[in-house]
Amino acid sequence: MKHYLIVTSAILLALVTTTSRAQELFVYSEPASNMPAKSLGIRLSNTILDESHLNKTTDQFIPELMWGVNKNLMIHAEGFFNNSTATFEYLGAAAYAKYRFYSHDDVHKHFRLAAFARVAYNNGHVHYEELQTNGMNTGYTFGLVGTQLLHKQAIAASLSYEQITDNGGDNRIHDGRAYQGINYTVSTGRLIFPKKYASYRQTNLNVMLELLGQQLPQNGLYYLDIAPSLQIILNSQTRIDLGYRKELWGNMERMTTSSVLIRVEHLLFNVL
Amino acid sequence: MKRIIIVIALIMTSAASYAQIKSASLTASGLTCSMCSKSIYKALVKLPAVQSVQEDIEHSSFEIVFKPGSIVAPDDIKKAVTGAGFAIASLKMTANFANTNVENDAHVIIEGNTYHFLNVSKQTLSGDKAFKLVDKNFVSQAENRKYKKYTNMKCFETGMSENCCHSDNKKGNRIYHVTL
Repeated sequence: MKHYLIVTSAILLALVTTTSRAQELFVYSEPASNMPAKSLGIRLSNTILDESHLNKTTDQFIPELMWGVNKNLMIHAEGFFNNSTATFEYLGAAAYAKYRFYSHDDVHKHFRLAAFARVAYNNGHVHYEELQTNGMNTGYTFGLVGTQLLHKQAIAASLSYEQITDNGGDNRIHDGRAYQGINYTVSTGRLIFPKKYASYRQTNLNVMLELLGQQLPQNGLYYLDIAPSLQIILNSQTRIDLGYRKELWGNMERMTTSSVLIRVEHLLFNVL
Repeated sequence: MKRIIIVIALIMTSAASYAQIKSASLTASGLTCSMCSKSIYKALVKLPAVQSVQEDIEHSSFEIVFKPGSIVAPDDIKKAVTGAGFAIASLKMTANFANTNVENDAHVIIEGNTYHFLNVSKQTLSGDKAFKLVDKNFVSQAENRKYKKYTNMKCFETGMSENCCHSDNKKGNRIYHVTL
């Protein structure tokens, strides 16, 4: 299974990076570019977590409101919900900010760098060794992301530091567990359709491939996931993402090593 | 002495013109996606002077038509593009000129904004003529540097009028540098 995934991924990666037009609207990570200034975005993400060790699946629902404050700064407000106890429960919220501090633009090209940070509160149980301020843990994360867009290739890489504290509701980190981690991502994307842009009303189909890793230096635990995804863009304004995330290598206890993501995102231009 | 000559030259050449800017051709840089292109389009159509915008997503370019009688400032177009998250690769404006004299290193006032012509021969412009912005952030840095040799004035670097300029142009007024 692992070998099959690696071979498939290598083929996808080759396709994604060698042909056609690049796309950087990544599904599992954020590029260094920001949303337009004075615009609002609404993003609804539902991740179906495969918990086969418990013979069930859990839905993790994250609604987000995104605000392009100016050309360099964007802010997200995020809510965390899941149905691990059969009904959807509110678990917490987070604020995320990204500041683009370097841009070198040319026609159909750019290189950009941005700094980002998330501060999260969560009052769910702390069951797992994986650190996840984006939905499971109270804590913070900060890091850097760089995106290189060339005519036929977009590639982004990020590196971040994540630290968790005890969750609310007296849900403490288990003794001896790591509370600091390093996250890294590598993402690339390609436009499949249309072959030639003619109108904003054309439906776009993008394929993305991402590698998402976490390393916990305090105890040597790690994981590396692969996440292929499909993205449909309607009317150049609404995104529908469908992603599959699977662990390639790892030795930590996680809520799941495989999940499916369904997301809808709509952008409201110049509303503020 | 050199400064005095420049001042005299400017007094002689800086002139208000009755030209009206009618349209612009814009190429944006830093994007390939249609969502990115649409964010620029949406920012352009929101400008008060803009009547219509025709996009060419494939080439990241936009044909802008301005409302008759409106005042067009290139900085407003730049702000729309950078606010959308991108940059200007090229901006050409088309104006209807009425016997407007232009020459190298001379200012012409169009719709209240000062345009400093570079690398042009002495001529009179009549009818629809296009001119291209060559300031920083309106062309690539390499292209901007090519026009430096056509002037010794500091406004080429700062984009603002300096003490050497004509008295109509108080220090700190915006000066756009253009070529035909």
